[in-house]
Amino acid sequence: MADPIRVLVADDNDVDRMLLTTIVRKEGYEVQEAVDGFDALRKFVEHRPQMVLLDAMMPGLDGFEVARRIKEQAGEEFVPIIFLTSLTAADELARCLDAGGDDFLSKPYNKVILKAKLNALHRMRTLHVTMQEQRDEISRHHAHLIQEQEAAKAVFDNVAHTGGLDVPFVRYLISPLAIFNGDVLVAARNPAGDLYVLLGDFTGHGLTAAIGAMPLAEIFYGMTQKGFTPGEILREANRKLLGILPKGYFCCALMLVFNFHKGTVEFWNGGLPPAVLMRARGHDLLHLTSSHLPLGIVSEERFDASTRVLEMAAGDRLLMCTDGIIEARDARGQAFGFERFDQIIGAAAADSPFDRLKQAVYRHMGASGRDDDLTLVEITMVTPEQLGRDAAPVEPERPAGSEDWQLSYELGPRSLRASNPLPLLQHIVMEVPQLRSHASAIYTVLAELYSNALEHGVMGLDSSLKASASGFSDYYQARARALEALDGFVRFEFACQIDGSRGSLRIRVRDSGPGFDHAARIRELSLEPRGTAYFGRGLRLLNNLCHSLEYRGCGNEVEVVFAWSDEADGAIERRAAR
Amino acid sequence: MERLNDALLDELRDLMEDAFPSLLQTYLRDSELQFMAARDALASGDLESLGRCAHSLKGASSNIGAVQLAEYCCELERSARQARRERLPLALELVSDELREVRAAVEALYRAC
Repeated sequence: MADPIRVLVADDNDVDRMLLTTIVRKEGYEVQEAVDGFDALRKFVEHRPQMVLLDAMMPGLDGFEVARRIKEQAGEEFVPIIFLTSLTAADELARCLDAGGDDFLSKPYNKVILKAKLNALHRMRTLHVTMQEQRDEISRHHAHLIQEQEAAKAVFDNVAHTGGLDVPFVRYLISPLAIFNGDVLVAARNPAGDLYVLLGDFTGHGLTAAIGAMPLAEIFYGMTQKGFTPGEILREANRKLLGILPKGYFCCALMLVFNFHKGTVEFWNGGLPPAVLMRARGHDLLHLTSSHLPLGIVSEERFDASTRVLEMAAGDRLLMCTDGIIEARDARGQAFGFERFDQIIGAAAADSPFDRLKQAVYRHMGASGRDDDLTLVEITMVTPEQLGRDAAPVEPERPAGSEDWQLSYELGPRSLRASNPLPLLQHIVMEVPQLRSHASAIYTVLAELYSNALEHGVMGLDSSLKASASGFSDYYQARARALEALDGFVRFEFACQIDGSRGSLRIRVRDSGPGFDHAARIRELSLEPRGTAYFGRGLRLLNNLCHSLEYRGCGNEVEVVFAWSDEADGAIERRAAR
Repeated sequence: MERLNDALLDELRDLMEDAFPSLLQTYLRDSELQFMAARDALASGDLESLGRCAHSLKGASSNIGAVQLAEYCCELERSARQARRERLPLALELVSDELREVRAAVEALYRAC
């Protein structure tokens, strides 16, 4: 049998106390008696009774004061107090309640009524205890859940970090609805230093969305660093998400590649609101509208990873957001809308509209709360000089690697159409430990040589098309058409020679095209002031990065030599450090 | 009005069982003490003490079924709290007379136990 419930009876009147004690004891309770207020407090501390019967009028410390102190002592525990009183005035009874009384009993005492009151208060007390236990259990569970979520979030943040965005020309706002974000924003540089940005909006929020974001971020970072094209990354991301996301779940995505040397942005939009390109000069806004299905919907064969390239001059701004901004609702349920987004950008002239957009969205929502994740990004094009030299990853130890080798690698028409040889070639060259600190330069050289051989050599595209802004998109359309019809080859030949602290990598690229009047071209370039035309930028870049650059024969063969010596590297690093 | 409520006394006898005589004895002792304290309080003009004694005697008396006495105690308590000094000697006399009768009846009950 359970322990009897302890009841304290405090009454200075002997007859009354004797009667009460007898009634309460006969009901099966264990009774402690107190003869005045001070005695009542002492007995309460000593015996910790679960219920108290308290005479309102006692000499010394009266019942009101005793009740207040008992409630104080009890803290969170619920100790019901029944006031014993012959008081009948309403304000006196109110005083009893104010002091913490839970019920009254008037004289002469009635056994039946007292019994009923004790039972009722005991039930209330039990309920209170149960409630507190359940509340404590819920808060323990909640704390546990939060702890687990925080651990998971730490993993998530490590995978889908925004580290690549912490540069002065990028501003962004990410406001997660839950502890996890349904939106994913990742950025990284490829080996050539191009900035890859992927903005994604998964269906749903929280855990479901976060689970999809992890492989997406992994693919993005892994492939970007290895030098894959945005198309290849998107294709892989689509394949992966198609495999892992449950039916009905997908990821709207916008992929952007900023090439700071060429002043271009390449994009692919699958289901996100249009990104808005605002020019530093001129008021026309350009919309990078969605022309694809989101990631994780269509099969590999039907997936279209074709991108578009736009010219982007230094100072031009690109603004993008997820649905959360466009669909943010005010108190009446009205959406913020793309039009308003567009108008604010249009009204910004050449200034950054970022703060105004952010304020407008928050003002619009007011206190109505959010129902989606809000992500807003602004990226301003900068020149390579503003960008600054990226510190290449330091490779302190130099394990033995390939030292003297030659490689010939030829791509036929089908390979030229469907694959990208750069990650593979970069990987092979990086087997030379001494070249690892030059990864970015090597990749840029390879990419330039390959695109010249393919676009101008094999496909015969005229780069002077790019001279006008509209010609820019004409050029890329012509490129896509030519790629379909392409016939020919591109051959790479590598020769690496290392002699102690010095070494050289010779890269020879030959294509099946008719060549060009390289001597005239090089003369022309040396006369033009720097940076006035799009064409020729590539050649200058090559010339700057390499030890030597030489066209051969009819111009369909080019040889560059990338040479290094540890002493020269050291001198450059020391100078850079100053 | 009856001196002692028989029905209530029967209930008390049932409730207290063997302790019933002890309850009566406690009342006899307690009521005597309270009354003397009340009388001293009136003599010294301590109305607060007088009120408290009347209150205490009222409670105990109502609990043993001395309905009329409880009424007189209530009147005495009220007069003391309202400081209606002119009424106090008479109110105390009413309590004194009724208490004498009640005590006689309780003593008889006690002896009968």
